[in-house]
Parts: sequence; structure tokens; C-alpha cells
Amino acid sequence: MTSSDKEPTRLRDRLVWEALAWLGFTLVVYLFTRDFDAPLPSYQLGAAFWPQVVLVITAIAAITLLVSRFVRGVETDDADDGPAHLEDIPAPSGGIPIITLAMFILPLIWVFALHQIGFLLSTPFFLIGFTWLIGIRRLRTLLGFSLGFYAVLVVVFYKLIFTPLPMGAGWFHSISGEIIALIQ
Amino acid sequence: MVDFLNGTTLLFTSFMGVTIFIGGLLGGLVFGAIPGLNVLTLAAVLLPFTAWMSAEHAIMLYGVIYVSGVYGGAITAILFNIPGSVENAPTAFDGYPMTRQGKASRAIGYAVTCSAIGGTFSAILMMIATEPIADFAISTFGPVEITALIFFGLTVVAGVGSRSLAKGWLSLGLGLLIGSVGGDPVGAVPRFTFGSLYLTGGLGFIPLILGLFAVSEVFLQGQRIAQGKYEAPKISVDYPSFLEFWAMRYGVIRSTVIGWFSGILPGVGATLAAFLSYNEAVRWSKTPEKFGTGIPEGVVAPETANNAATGAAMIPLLALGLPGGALTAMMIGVFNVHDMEVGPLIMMEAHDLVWILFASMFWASLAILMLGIVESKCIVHMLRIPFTMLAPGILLFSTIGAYSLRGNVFDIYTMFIAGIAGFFLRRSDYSVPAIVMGVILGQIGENSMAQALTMLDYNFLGFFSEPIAGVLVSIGLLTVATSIFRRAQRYFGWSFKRNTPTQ
Repeated sequence: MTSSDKEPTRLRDRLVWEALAWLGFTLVVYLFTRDFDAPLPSYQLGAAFWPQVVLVITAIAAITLLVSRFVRGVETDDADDGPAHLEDIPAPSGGIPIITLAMFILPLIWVFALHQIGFLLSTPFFLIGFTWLIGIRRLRTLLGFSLGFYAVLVVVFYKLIFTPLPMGAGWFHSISGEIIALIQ
Repeated sequence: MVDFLNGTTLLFTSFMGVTIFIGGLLGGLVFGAIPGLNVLTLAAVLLPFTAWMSAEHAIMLYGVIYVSGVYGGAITAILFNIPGSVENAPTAFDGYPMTRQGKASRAIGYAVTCSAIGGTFSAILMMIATEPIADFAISTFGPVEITALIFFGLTVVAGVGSRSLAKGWLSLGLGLLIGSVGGDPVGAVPRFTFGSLYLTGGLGFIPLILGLFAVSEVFLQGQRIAQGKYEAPKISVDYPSFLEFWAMRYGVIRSTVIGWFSGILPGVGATLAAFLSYNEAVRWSKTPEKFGTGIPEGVVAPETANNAATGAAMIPLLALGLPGGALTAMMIGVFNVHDMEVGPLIMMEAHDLVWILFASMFWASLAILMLGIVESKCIVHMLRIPFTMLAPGILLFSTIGAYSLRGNVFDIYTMFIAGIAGFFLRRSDYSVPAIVMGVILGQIGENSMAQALTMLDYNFLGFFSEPIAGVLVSIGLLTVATSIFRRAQRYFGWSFKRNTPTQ
């Protein structure tokens, strides 16, 4: 069996896992709906009715996806018709590089830092880090762009349109307050 | 006509009036077009300052901001996959793929022209038919009809944006479930909140769309850059020709009508207009499978409809005091600041003010056309900025946009988690448009359905006893049956063409 023969089989196996994941998800969410499925005085069907109807539809779609793995269709001329922009999207079989995983994690760390340290103090580090991850590696360009962009953001959002942004907690809050007072 | 001329005269004969008109127009365009900002931010910032303006100028300013902001939000949807506001979300479905194909200027050209057409027709209709249309729409479209309309919309949505019908329905189901997080619309019973106060109010819609569209796009392109496969979008500045617009005439008329009637319905406004219009464009198309791939019809439909809704939204606002969305709700605030109550008496008590508002919205729609043509030639050059520099900017503007609406850090978490989920869902051919439509239509639909079922004494067949609702539900069921049949026909290679003998 050549690698090109293996590709459709692998994709079909992926469909099975996806369908099973959806069915598992549906079951778990259904169990959660039982926490609030009592009838309401003004609405007999209760708060769970709508989500449960949606779950039934989702389960039917997941079963259809599962069945489609085992029903061998006929390749027709337009069988591959679909959104052209999908060609833009990296193939699922390509795996996820570590750098992409870092792109997921860094913003989450930054949001946590926003809560604790505040926007003003945490954003320069995030900007430098993310700009490096996305591909700007020359130190001068990296620092020049990141800090220049940060300065523009500070002027626009703190001085011109006074947008309230996270100020952090504890003494980070006080420092942010002092800096904002200076800027404004 | 005399009232309109009076309104126009009052608008343009005062220096302050002209200044506020131009300021509102540019403000709406700029705030709509900066990623992460939106016209609601501008309207909220300006609200306290309206106390120092005359009532005519204050309400006129909000009318102009409303019209220009709805158009401005299309720019970022098309260029960066960041809808400026909820009603611009369907514009991104096809507008952004057009940008990836090097047709950004054309997409913006379609958006500009159709926004102007939709807005202008809407303003004219608003002026000549406010009373009878308001009476008809408000008396005819109750919860039963709205539920049927939403059901019909959902059946179309499942076929958009994915090669697989099952994945389309799964995406829609996911969107509907996300929309049901938080208090239920009848008894405010907490659902899927896990004791979190943040989740009790439901997941923020703006953070969700920013995550699913903008953040997931940054991650996808980031991965392509990391793999050395990134290709920058081509830039062109060609504007669609008259003939190309002429070919869209039926779509424009259809979307104007949908936009207008959706705009009249209190509480739904431009958002429902844009989504329904997109659905209808898919349904009426001879090539529905091409929607989501970057076709002009996908830009024309929502942009015509959301601007057509702006004028119509003034009808329930002025006649009944019912806002169609957040910005029209702020307009009630402007009236209150000036000690006025919106309602049936407003046309008599503040006749001049109402006609200044009507005239300003009409002229703002026309002005969009002039400004927009220039803008479409200039703004595409933003795409010359390398994506490596654009990406951190998109993330930062989106973060500020997500946070500034409710001032809650959890909205930023929601946005990034939605971005990561969007990355994986898009890689696996799930439909982000269907998820987004599921969230918005589900929230409106559940509320209407609860009211409708109570009215119908929980008899589901009661929908068929109401003529409009019956027709809409039947067409919805037919849409599902047709899409299943079409996919099965394609999959199994069924053919109903007469076999021609081969030599």
C-alpha cells in the first residue's frame, strides 16, 4: 500500500475518532442538562428543553459522520467541491509545530498577567515574545517594532480615547495608576 | 418631501450641524475600520458629551454614527477577518477569502456600494412609510413567526462553510449550545455555568467572534509562517464595474427587503438582517456550495441588509420606544438626556428633530458612497504591512476590543480559547460561520420559541396553524430534505440525467 493509498484511510479513521468525540461530548453535556431540567412555573418545558433538542440534532449529525466512514461513496466530478479557502488551511495531517503551540500558550499567560500585572506593564513583554514567535528574529527590528507599536497603543488608548484597560492587582495596580496619571 | 427638505436645511445651514455630521461620519468609518474597536465604543464614549449639544444635533450624530459604523465594520471583516460588529460577521465569510485571493478592493467596493444602496433605500422607505409598515410588521410578526423565521434560517446555515453536511450540522449544534450558556431566557435558570458568575451572563458574543475569526486566523497564518508556507494576499485596487453590480440587482433588492423588515422587528435589528440575508443569498444561489469561498454575493447580501436595517430600526425606536440593538438603545439614552420620551407622540412633539434624523441618515448613506470609493482604493494598502507585524497588532486590538465592552478579563480568556478552538475546527473542515450563526440565531430563537410555545399551549403543530409561520417552517423542512438529498446524490453518484449513447 502506497502512502497516497494510506491517506484516505487515515482521514476516514480520523472521522471515526471525531464522531466518537462528538458523541462523548453530547453525552456529557446531556448529563449536565439534568441539573436544570425541572419544569418552570411559567414554562413547562423547562430550561433544559432547548439544549436537549440541540443535543439530539448534534447526536444525529455525529452518527451520520460515523456512518459516512463505513459507507463507500462514488467519486463524482463535484465530490470535492468545497470552500476554496480550505486550501489555505494547513492540512490536519501536518501536525502542529512546537512554535504554534507556543503561540497558543503565550497569549494565555499574557491574559493571566493582565489580571495580575496589568496591561501597561505586561504588554511590552507579550508583544516582543509574540512578534518573535511569529517570525521577526532580528533584535533591532523586534525591539523597534514592538516598543514602537506599544507606544502608539498607549497614546491612542490611554491619552486619546481613555479606554479603561486592566490595571493589575496589589502594588502593580498602584504603579499602573501612577503611569496612567503621568500619560494623561 | 417638505419635511425632508426642512430637515436637510436645518441640518446643513448650521455650521455646528455640518461639523457634527462630518465628524460622526468619519468617526463611524474610522472606529468601524480599526480592528478591535467598534462603533459602540465611540457611541458609548460620546454619550455623556451629548448633554452639551442641542437635542437635534445629538440625535443626528447618533443616526450618522449608526449608518457609517455599520459600513465601517465591514472593512476589517474583509481585510483581516475581524468583523467590526456582530452585524458585519457574515461579511467576513466571503469578504476575507476574497482578500486572500487578492480581491480586497473589489470586496470593499461591493461593500461600499451595497451599504450605500441599502442605507439610502432604507432611509427613503423610513421617510415615506414609517407608520403603515410599522403597524403591519409589529402586528404580524409575533414570537410564533420569529421562531419559524429563525428555524428556517438555521436550516440554511448548516450548509454554509463546510464540505460535509454532518460537520455543518455539528458546527451549528456547537454554536447553539454555546449560545445556551448562561441564564435561560424565561426563568434565568443558570445553565452550564458551573457556579461561575461570569458564565451566568452567557459568553460574550464579541469575544467569541473575535476569537473564532481573528485570533484563529493569526494562529493559522502563524503556523503557515512557521512551516514556510505563508503567501501574502495579492493587492489590487480595481473597483467592480457597473455590469457586475447590475448582475447583483436581484440580490440587492432581496437583501434590502430582508434588511428593512428585519430592522423593523424590535430587539433583533441589523444583526438578524445580515445573517438572514446571507442565508437567503445561499438558498437562492445556483451555486450555494461556493458561499464561504470568496464570492461577491456573500459580501453584497449582508452589507446591503445590515445598512437597510438602520433606517428601519428607527421605526420601532421612534414609534414604540423599542431598540433594535445596542446603538439604538443608546439613542434612547440621548433622548432621555434631553428630557424626551421616545414613543408614539414623538412625531408630533419633536417633528423637526425626527426629520433632521431622517435627513441625516439619508445623506450619510449617500456620503458613504463617495467616501467609500476613495477608501476602497486606499485602505487595501494596509495589506502591504507584513503579516508578521500585523499579527501582534490584530491580537492586541482584538484583546482591547474584547475587554473594553464589559471590562472583564474573562472575555479575553474566552476570545483566546475560542481562537484555539477555531484553529482546530477550521483545520478539520468545521464551519465557523455556522457556529457563529448558531450562537446568534439560537439566542434570539430560544427566547421567541419559549414565548411561541406558551402562546400555542405547547402544541408544536400550532406553528402550521399560523399562515406565515407554517410556510416558513415548511420551507425550512424542505431545505433540510433538499440538502440531504443533494449530498446523497453527490456521494452515491445518483444521476437523473438521461443517458446519452456513447460512441
